[in-house]
Amino acid sequence: MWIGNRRPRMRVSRFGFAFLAILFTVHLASADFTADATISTNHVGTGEPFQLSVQVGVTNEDTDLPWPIVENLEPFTVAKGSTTAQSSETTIINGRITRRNRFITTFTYTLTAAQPGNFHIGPIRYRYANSERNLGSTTVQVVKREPGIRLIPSLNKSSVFVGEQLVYTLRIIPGPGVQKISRPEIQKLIGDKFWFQHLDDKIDSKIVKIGGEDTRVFDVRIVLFPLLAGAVDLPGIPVEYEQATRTRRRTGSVFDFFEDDFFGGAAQSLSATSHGLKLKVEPLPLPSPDGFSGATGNYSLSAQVDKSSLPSGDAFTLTVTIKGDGQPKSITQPQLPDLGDFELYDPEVTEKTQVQGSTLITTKTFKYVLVPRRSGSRKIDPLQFHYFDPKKGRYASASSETIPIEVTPGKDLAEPAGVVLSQREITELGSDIRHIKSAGAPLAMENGFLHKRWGFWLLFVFPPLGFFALLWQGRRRARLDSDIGLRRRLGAGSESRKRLQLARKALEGEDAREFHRLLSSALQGYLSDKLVTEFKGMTSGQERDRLMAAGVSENTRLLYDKLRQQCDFAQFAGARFDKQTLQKTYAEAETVLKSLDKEIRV
Amino acid sequence: MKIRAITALWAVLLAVGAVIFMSPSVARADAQRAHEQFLAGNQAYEAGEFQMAVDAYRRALDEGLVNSRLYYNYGNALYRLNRLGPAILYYERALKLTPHDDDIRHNLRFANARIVDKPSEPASNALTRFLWKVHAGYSLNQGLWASLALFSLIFLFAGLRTYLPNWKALWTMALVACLLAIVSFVPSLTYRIYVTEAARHAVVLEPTLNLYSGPGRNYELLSKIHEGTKVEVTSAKDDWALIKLSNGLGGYVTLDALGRI
Repeated sequence: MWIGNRRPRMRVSRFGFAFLAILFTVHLASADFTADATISTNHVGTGEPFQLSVQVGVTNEDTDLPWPIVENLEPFTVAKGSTTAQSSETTIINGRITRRNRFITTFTYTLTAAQPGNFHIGPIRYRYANSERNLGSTTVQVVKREPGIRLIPSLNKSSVFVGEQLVYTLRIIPGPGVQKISRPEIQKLIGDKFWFQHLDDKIDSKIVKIGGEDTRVFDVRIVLFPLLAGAVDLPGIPVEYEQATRTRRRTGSVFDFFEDDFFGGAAQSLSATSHGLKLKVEPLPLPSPDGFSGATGNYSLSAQVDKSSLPSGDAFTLTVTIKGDGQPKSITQPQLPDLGDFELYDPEVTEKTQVQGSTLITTKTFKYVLVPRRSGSRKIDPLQFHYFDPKKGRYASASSETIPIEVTPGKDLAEPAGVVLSQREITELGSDIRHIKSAGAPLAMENGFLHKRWGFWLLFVFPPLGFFALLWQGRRRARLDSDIGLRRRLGAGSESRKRLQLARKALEGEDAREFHRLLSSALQGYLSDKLVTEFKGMTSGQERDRLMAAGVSENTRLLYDKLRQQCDFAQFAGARFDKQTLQKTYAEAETVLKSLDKEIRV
Repeated sequence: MKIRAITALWAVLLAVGAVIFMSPSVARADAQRAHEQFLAGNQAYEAGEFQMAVDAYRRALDEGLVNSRLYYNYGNALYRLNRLGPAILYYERALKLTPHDDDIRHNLRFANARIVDKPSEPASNALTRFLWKVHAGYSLNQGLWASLALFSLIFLFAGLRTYLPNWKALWTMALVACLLAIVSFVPSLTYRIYVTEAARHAVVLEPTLNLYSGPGRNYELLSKIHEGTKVEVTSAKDDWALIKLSNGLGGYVTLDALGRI
């Protein structure tokens, strides 16, 4: 059983009561064996397992030791198992070393009672090597327990003042089969009405007398500080827990019991809610004293310095400690007395809370650095902290003693130091705020917070897209590097366009022979790359067959054939063409290349 | 095809950019008038005419301009007129826009030192002071851009690990550095957004404000709070607001006595 995430390290502690009460021990020693009998508890609830163990020690290893004889186990469900451990004992007598092994077998009976009552167990006997020992007997008291949890809420006060500390205790009483209890969440229930804090980091079980019976309970203690006056209804607190369902296999072996979850592994999540409580919160009387910051409780204040004598210009520390049982945040900076010639710097503040019994105590420390400007005998007058004392029902104040300071001549300070302003500079010397900001750049709207614009969040889409683009490009490059044919096929179009561009230049220069050479190169080059077959040197018939096999239409094949013939004619027969014809040929070449690009199936 | 794809990509980027940068700002003419009033306010302030400065800054604010310099100067002018509550309110508003501005922080602290209900000092040590300084050292928009940059770099370095594998160790180190940076940065940024969006703080504008146990003057008078005190508004209904002070105490006050930060 545990609360929250704390799970017992040893499985045996799942058996309810953690302590092992040795009720009776019979230790019988003989030359052959020893035997002890122990029981984990003699006070259990219905459905709660407990253990009876019989430990037998023999000097020779015997894997077939008989089981003990235990009488009167009928009222119980019994699971049993045994384990054997070996130990050795070495003795040196007169220089002679003797080693003796010992084998200890533990027979464990895990017993569970379904009905309440007082049950006598025993006599327990052990018989071995023609010898029998009586290990005794005992009585177990079984009381009735209901499954689930019971919740008992309570307050240590029924009427408090605003800000006064009170303790809310939620007592959780688990029944049999309760496996896990979650820490109650109270934020939503009382968070608006109270400032609160859990008193205990860990919640351990304890045994208390309820109705005359020893009962295991968990107390969840919460410190509350009411924020508003009036009658307050504290709502019931829901507590979630897991209830085991009874489906354990009953093979009779104790190992099955440990291997499974406690009652066979299945658990049901349930919730129980405590009943509500009423509380009266009194308002603080008016008028409140000047400087009162809402602290309600009992407070003390102390002030001390780290140096009582120092030269002017040197710094010393004034430590003011306020301690009390009111709301931690209600301890504010104390009112400082007139500090005369002392430079005062903003304090370093530390806060510590600790639990003393059932009370939360807050200690807040303010460390001021002071620098005396001039030499002479000085003093720090008592500091005061005002609070409301709920026990007395009136306002009170905690004060410190007067602290004398002897300042010897040193480097006297003419001007207030630094940019860090002290309270005294602000309130007495009239130190000033910083100046206004000059015009500078034209004023612009500054409330255009980007997180309100969906377009900004849309930008977050692009980095993943860029990542996938890089990934794709990297894989494509790797593929092209390993497949030259593919690279030629994919680059066929761009290569032919480059050649056509060269042909265009030749056309503009009216160099018909060069134009046709480049045009022929563009056409054949494109097909060579696209089909990964060398077209240069093929006859017209071979080219036609290859194009037909690649799925090129007849019209495109005829046009290609015509252009190829014209290129050959111009290059090798020296035929002449005017510019208009060349432009027309160029356009036809572009058309053929586009058609080839569309029609060729690779 | 490629040209069309690139054109489409640019169109998308331009559209996103337009959405991001076209803020619901005041019109150019209004902004110009606000700037003129701001300059007039500065002149009046320099001349010691603080009421005139307040009026000029007020007119600039009426043009709908939201600007930390304007808020700060307006706060200064109000402070000069000893109107502590409104001055603190506008310092707080300025600080919300530019939390790293040292002048604003200083003047706010200075003004807070003069109010009656001094805020309780939070417990602090060197580490928390350092973390707070880092947290307050950037504006919300700067933080958002930084988060986008880190997010982009993470994907860039992850992509480069595949694209340029010869430098894999370098990209991995850079990637891990960016991941650590963004993991450290996100909580601070999230808190900043929460403070901007969810936290509802206000400043008491009246010299003295009664704190009641319920939303009405017939309820019990709990306490009094004073001008300039910063409070958290838990809920507001009709003309009444349930507030919480920094020391945890709370109660109902009249809504019109508060200026929302």
